[in-house]
Amino acid sequence: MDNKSRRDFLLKSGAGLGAAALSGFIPGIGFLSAASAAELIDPLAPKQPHFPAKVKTVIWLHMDGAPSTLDLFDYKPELVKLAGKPIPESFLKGIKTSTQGGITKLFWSDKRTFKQYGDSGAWFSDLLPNLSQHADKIAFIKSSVTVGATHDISILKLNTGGLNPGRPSLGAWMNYALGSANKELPSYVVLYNDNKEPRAGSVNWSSGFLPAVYQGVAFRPGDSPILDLERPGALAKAEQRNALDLLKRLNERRAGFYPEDTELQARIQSYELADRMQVSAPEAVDLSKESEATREAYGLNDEITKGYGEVLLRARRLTERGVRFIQVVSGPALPDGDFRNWDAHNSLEKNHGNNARMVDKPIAALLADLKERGLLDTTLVVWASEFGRTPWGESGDGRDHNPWGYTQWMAGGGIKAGTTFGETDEIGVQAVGKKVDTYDLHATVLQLVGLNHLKTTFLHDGRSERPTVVYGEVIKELIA
Amino acid sequence: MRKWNWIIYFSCLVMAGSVAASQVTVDEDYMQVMEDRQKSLTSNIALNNTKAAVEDAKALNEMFSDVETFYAQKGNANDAVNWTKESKGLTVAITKYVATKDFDTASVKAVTLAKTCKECHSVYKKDK
Repeated sequence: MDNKSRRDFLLKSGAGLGAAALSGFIPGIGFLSAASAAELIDPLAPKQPHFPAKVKTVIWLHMDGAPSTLDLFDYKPELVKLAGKPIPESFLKGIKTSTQGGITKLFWSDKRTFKQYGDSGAWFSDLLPNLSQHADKIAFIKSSVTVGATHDISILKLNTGGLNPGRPSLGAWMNYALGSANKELPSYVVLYNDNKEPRAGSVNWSSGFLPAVYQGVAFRPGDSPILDLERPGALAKAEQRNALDLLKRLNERRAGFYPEDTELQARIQSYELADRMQVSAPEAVDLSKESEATREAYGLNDEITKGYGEVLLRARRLTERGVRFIQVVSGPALPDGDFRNWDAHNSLEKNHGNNARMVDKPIAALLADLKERGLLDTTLVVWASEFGRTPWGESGDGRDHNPWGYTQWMAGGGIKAGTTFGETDEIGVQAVGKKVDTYDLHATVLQLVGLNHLKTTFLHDGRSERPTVVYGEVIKELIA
Repeated sequence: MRKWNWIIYFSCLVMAGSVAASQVTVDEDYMQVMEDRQKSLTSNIALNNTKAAVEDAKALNEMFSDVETFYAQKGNANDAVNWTKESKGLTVAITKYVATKDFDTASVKAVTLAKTCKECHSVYKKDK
């Protein structure tokens, strides 16, 4: 973060704090009077949920590029049998297949094997040898559907429910509705294992029309999670403290003349938050004190798993510190490797071989670690992707985009572990029976953190807006 | 004889005109208006605004009648006709719940309405 972007951060935070206070609209409460709105100077103060929460933290694992869940979780013996043949017309009824690769012959890799694991007998492929050991912790959603467009648009929908930028992300809604549980850290953090920000950009952790203070804060990989957050070398700690104290006194004096100016009061707070974060943010992501056993479990000693493993270990540390929403975007298995993400339009074996290896061990370690520390009961881990992939092949050995039926899963507090909800047809083209759209997934996640998605509202341009737009149904079958 | 020809000719024109007038056009613009109304309905239910929510629900009910007529005339679209009938029923139910200040149930019904629209769109909405 350079000086300009640091100023932007502070200004946005200040503006956000002020705007929330000025709007005076609190989820589950409604509008406050003008007088009490002016008193509302801390929009990140903890707020009561609509009902008792089952989890405190959500770790949202976005598998960027869209993995083929047919090659990971959704075993289809009929597809194996029909591989190499044209797809029977009956499977395409009711869907528009305008994907770029056209419809070619059904594809199955002869290297792929599937086995059942745990008491639940959940299917996992050979690509996930470690995650499969946690089968009984997971609730699968095998009838996920979405709007299939480009990656960027479908990723936006996955995170915000909108097909155009401008809507708040799920994490921002949660931040807005529940406030912060740790004043030393942002309550909504975005992590990624790449040397640049995820391709679909910050609109995916934006606060949209909510005040800017609720947006996610992206932590870069490496020792300095927020660029230039640390105090400049030439500035002594006492000097900075004196400068901040002087600024605070001047601001407070000014605020005394204009008590209705909540933006100024918010600005005072944002300087203090930035000051506190100089200490707390680097400590929260410092892995040097983690044991060798933990580092090994997360795959920090392996070139392929190191980047993603570090990110997930940080996610666990942030969970321990009360961060509400941690959005993790998967990056490339190797920084300079051929495959930047799961988008296997060709060479699926090589692509998924690398990407599955990158996430398998770290995610398994995260689930085990959270369990061991007694955190899994209060944490929700979500495996999500913008869409799935087709059973027919593309470019000979790849698969095209599939928004009509794919698998996502949840593990952790409040969910019915070891179960599967929904299914796809016999070869995995489309979901059959009750479908689960992005809005339903969002409604279910919000339910688990104690929020009724229908009552989590914000007045924008005269209209009451909510996270699930006009849709959303809690998947009750997934909740314990 | 020539006079009778003219009478028949003009009668046909008048009949054709009245048939055209009874045909409903449901195009992208019409659907956009419906979508806006639906968002307005959802918002007004959330804001517990009975009057505005009832207005929205009634307006949607009329528009769904047009959509039903459109697909009935189009033919070979029984599923669309059934979806619009279901939607009309939901708008009636929403009006009832809103009128009795049961906004929670009205909200749930509005979600079902939105899902019904989406099901129909998955088959009939043209890709741009």
